[in-house]
Amino acid sequence: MTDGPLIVQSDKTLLLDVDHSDAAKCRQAIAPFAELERAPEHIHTYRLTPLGLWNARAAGHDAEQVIDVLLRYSRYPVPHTILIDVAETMARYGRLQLVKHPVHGLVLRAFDIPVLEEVLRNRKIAPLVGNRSGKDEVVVHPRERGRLKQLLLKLGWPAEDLAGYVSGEAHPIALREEGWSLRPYQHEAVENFWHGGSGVVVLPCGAGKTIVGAAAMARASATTLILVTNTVAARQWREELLRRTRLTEDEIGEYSGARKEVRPVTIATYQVMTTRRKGVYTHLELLDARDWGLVIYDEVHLLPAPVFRMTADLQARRRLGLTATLLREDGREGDVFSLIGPKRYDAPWKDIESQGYIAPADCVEVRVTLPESERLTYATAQAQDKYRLCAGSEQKVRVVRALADRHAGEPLLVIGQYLDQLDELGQMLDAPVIKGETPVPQRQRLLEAFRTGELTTLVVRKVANISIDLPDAREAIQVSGALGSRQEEAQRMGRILRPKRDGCSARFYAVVARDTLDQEYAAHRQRFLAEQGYAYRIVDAEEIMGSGGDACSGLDG
Amino acid sequence: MPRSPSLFSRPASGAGREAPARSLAQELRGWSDDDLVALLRARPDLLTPFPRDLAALAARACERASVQRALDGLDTPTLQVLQVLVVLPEPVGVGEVSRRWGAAAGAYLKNLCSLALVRKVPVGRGSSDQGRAGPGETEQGETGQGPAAQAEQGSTEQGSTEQAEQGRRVSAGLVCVRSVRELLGPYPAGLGPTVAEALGRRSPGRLAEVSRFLGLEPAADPGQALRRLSGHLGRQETVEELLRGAPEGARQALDSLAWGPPVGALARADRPLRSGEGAGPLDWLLARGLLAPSDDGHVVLPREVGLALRGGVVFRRPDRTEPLLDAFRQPADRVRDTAAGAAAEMVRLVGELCERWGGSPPPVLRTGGLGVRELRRTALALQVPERTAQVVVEIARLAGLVADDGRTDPVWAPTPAYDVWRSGDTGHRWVRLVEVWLPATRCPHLIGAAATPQDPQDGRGARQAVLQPLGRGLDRVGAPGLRRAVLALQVEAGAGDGWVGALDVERVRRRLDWSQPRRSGPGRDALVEATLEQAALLGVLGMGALAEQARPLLPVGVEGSEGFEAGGGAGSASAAEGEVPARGRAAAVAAQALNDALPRPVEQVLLQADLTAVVPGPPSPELEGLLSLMARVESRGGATTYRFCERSLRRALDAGRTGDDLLALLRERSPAGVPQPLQYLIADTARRHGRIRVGVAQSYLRADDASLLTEVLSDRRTAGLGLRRLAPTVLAAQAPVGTVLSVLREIGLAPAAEGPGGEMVLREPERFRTPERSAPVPVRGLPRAPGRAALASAVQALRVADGAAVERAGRDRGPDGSEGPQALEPADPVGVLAAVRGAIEDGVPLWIGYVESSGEVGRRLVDPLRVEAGRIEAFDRRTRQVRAFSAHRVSGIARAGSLHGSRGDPPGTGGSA
Repeated sequence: MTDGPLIVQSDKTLLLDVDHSDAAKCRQAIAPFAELERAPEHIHTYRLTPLGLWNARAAGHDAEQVIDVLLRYSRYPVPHTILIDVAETMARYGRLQLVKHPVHGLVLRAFDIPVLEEVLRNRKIAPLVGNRSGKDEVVVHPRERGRLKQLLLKLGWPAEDLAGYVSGEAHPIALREEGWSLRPYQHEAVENFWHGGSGVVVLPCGAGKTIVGAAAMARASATTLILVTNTVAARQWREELLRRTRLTEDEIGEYSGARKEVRPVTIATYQVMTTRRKGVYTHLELLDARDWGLVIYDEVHLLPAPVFRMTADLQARRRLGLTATLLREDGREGDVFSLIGPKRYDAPWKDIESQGYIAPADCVEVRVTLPESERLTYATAQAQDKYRLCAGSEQKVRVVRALADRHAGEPLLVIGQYLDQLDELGQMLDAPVIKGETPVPQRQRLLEAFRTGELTTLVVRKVANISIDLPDAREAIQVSGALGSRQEEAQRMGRILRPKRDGCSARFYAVVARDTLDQEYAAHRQRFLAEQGYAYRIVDAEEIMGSGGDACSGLDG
Repeated sequence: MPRSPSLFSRPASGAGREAPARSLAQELRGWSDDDLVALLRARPDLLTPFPRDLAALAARACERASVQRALDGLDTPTLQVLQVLVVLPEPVGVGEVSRRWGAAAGAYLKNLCSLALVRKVPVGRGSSDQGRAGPGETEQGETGQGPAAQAEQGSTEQGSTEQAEQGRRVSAGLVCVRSVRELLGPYPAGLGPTVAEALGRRSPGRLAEVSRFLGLEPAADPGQALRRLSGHLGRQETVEELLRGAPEGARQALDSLAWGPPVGALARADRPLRSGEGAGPLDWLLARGLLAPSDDGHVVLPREVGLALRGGVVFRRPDRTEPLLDAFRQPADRVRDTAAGAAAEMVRLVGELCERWGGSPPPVLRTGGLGVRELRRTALALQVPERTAQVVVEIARLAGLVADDGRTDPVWAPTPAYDVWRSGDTGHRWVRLVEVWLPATRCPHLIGAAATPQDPQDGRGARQAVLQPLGRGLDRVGAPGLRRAVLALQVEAGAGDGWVGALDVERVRRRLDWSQPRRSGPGRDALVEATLEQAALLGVLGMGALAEQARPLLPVGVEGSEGFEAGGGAGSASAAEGEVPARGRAAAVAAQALNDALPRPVEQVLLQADLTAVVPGPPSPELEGLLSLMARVESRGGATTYRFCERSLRRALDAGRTGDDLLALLRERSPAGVPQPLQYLIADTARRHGRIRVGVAQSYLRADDASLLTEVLSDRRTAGLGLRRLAPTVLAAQAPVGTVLSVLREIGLAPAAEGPGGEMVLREPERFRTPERSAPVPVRGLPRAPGRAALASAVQALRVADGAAVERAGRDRGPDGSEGPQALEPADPVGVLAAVRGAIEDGVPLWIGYVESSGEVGRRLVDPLRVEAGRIEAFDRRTRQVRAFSAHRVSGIARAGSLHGSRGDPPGTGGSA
């Protein structure tokens, strides 16, 4: 029995004891094939999944290495079944290959005839393939390349796509490395992606994913379609591209709800791609508008399902996915793997650590007790009104006041969902309110003022309205509303609360009404944040309001 | 080739062909006690049920089923030798067998003799060995010769040259038991029928033609022609010479059949014979009898020709050495730890299964098993694959830890034995599981396979479509033997300084295919795989190698070859008695070894802010008790992770703990303190716990006037109502509404009943009604009088029955008026069959005691006609009908030979005397 840092569980989770002296080495060793699921303070949980193992295979690791790592670091004997399972799962990748054939075009080639026979007998696969061109080959229609890969993955026989790519319409793109240069890991990510053909680059927030995208474009030097989550992100991409490359304004087009420009480099939003009129996707033609040499998917983990369907038809084009996490809320990791490609690069943990990803912020849940009258109203309210009632409690406004007083002079962001509550807060704090109807220029002006320190307090409705361009805040207070899905929430929160330049961490307050739905939602958030490694504490509103300014010390302890 | 004796000239009948059982019995009488013990040890099935005498034993030893079992146990060389013996005309000499096999066969033949599969007969005139036996040949007496002596030639030949062996050859030839021939199939060793058999089917004209083509003298009758043909083609040089002159393609055609199977497809095989111009190579072969048509679409290669093509030997090479085991080495400590981990996991799974089924027992299916859906649910709950869950439930049942509770709606539930088992430590619990697994015949890997119709059906009647877990039809008698064999191989794989030999399925299979070739096949392969899998799950094997802690548990036979086959033999009984304490010691040693190999229990827990707790090792029982009370398990393995949630904490509070208790207990166990979110969760849950109380009341009393209720409460007469004050104006009562109302009325109050919505209910006395019923109809007098025809046939039937009774009374006295034999000799079915066969041969009638299907027992005088598949067809003299009797229903038997007339003429017509 070794005294390793890793414990392999029979349900295929790996527990990593982070306090162990070998923890860092072990983490690096298991990162290629195991997905990090939870990272609370003592024991991090990784999971062995078929996709993770196949990703590792695609990256050139073999089962022997994986098993060796498990055996080397494991504290207890590794269940034999898991070792067998790892070997068997990894052996399934690449038994089938999609390759170019000089005569038949695209063919599916098998290194294991029975496997080919098995998959060809599948009812769904049969219509996607043509005639047998040999004992171990079957012709595939190029249009069905993506769907075939998707189905093969579902059957547990992921195909290795070696059929290559069209080079697309050439367009010179060069990086403008003035005053900055590509960091080594960014360079490595681009190279790995380029040699793999297509795939996903996983980098933590703030590690410069946009730059990786720009470098990939320069490597391809071809017309590029960039798909991003929303308009604000589109603008940011555009600015970044102008700053980092020699592309001019005329060469970059925006294809969104507001503008429909198709240029050599076109940035489109997921939303416009998924807009339907009378059941028909109206903007599909964008995909064929040019002979794209590269398609970049920003935030792959948020890629909506219809875009996956469209992507299935783009299999001959190079695809680059960028994300901070491969885990998806909807569990469609398999589609990412089969349609965009396997993971091509994962930043070493040390880099992530240096990015301050592990303990970025301090989260405090402030519990307010509803007064008797509000409790009664809440207790008798209809189910659909309950959340609104508890989230909009009068008590919360008083807590925000107390907190704002405590942090007077520091940049403070107040986030909420209900307009009347936000207006009230804005009035009380004497701060501008950004809502859905706030015009974009004004919004940008306000954000800019906040960034420069001209404005210390800002009230915003839903973080979604600010998206990725959130300014740095020292403190953020959330009074109501979820920030989207759990995933999104954590990411956005991560952005707001980046470690500050002066080294102290930011603080996130969530004001929550005790014994209500509000608290239930907060419990979900708490679990997720704790799993992500955020420090999380709970305090009573009385502590803050009762002790006035001195409470800071109590809180800071 | 110095000599080519015409081996096949004798017609295929020998001394061994007639009444094998009877002559084997004579032979067994001559065996020493030790020889008999050895036989019974090797073939324990001969003892059950206990045979009446040696004749019965011999009869049983020749029975097809028993011979099959014996054959299945033979290893490749022995089986090869037996096949050589079978393809040669009997009786055969040891030298001849060795020559045809290509190696000294004496030891193997000796073994076959001691198994009573082969026996020695004196060689008569015209025997195959006659030509070589020489003048020194002497006939040895029938008696006084054990199997060892029989095969003496073989035992001494080891190391001596073939020539010397032949010089010392003795007189006896060897024959094999007839069932062996049947069981080895139509083409033993891939050789076809003899020339005589193969060509015997052809018309005399064709035979003459073949003879002509071969240049033989024409024979007068077909029998002679056949003998000449056999003699001619039986010589190897004849065949070789013929082939030298064969047209192109003939040799290839024969070569393709030479090593079997000896049958090839050929359209119109029974074609007219042609040779010369225009005839193909196959025509050429057919014309010379080198091929013979077996039916119109197939040709067969005659045995003599096949042997000649094989160069005079039966097999390519004598397969004498067992394949190398070629075990791969695994580090011993890793094997030990892996196996120990698996063992602890299995013990835990069985325990958890019992706990789970103790809480919500799954129903027993009508067919007696466990439903597929229940199994899936169990697998999900145990977080294991279904295949593992199947093993877990079967083992739990085998160990007697769960059982069908036998109620009207039966369920699978833990037994009291579970509580005993649970009280032991991990080591002892594990030992118990392994001990029941080793001799088990249950085969969980068959679950889900289609149930065969032959599966025994018990009284429950329902038919199962597929084999179900815990259901019927999962027993395979060969499983324990195979398991022993597999474990013996694992022992053989060896262990050394810091390593243990490991075997995978392929290696085990390769060896078993050699040591028990007749059992090989997909069924056994699956069983081997399942055995290795189960052994790994149980922690007997780790990383494919035998774990040291499991060694003491292996059956005694496994370590060496001695006692390996010992079943219920008389010889092993005394040994078994001595084994009991030894086995107990071994169990204790194994349990201790496992406990030592397991990681030390952990006393502390890591609590985390995401409301999880991790015990980084096996938790100590107290810690596990504490955590499983207040948290639910999320994942298991080397460590255990728990998650705290409101529900799990409520469970702890329901069990009587307070929030402060729980916090204090956790603080004690957690070196890093209790994270604040967990403190809050516990405090919140505790605060909310029990704020609402729920109880049972049969009725309530409500009054606006609180003092009125006080009055009711204080009245002594209401004491029996179980009243309790819930609020100033509400009382709860433990008596039903009717009682409460009448008691209150008795004490002079005027209560009113209240409906579910609070409205007042006025109660009237109830009036009962039956459900819809019809009125009675008038009763008729006598039944209608029967018609004339009905009466006539009734009288007829009565007369016939009467006549038969009188006749029977006369006949039962026996044909000559005597009372039959005084006592029938009791017999078991095998003995019965032997006696009946004898009676048929001698043409004598028999008295048999017979149990009818109605359970009636009677004596019958019968003339046996035929014996077939355990049934005796015989003429029953009493009923004057030919009918079938089942051998197992015959309770006794005696010859009635001299007492009465011939069988075709049953004695006196009843009643006429």
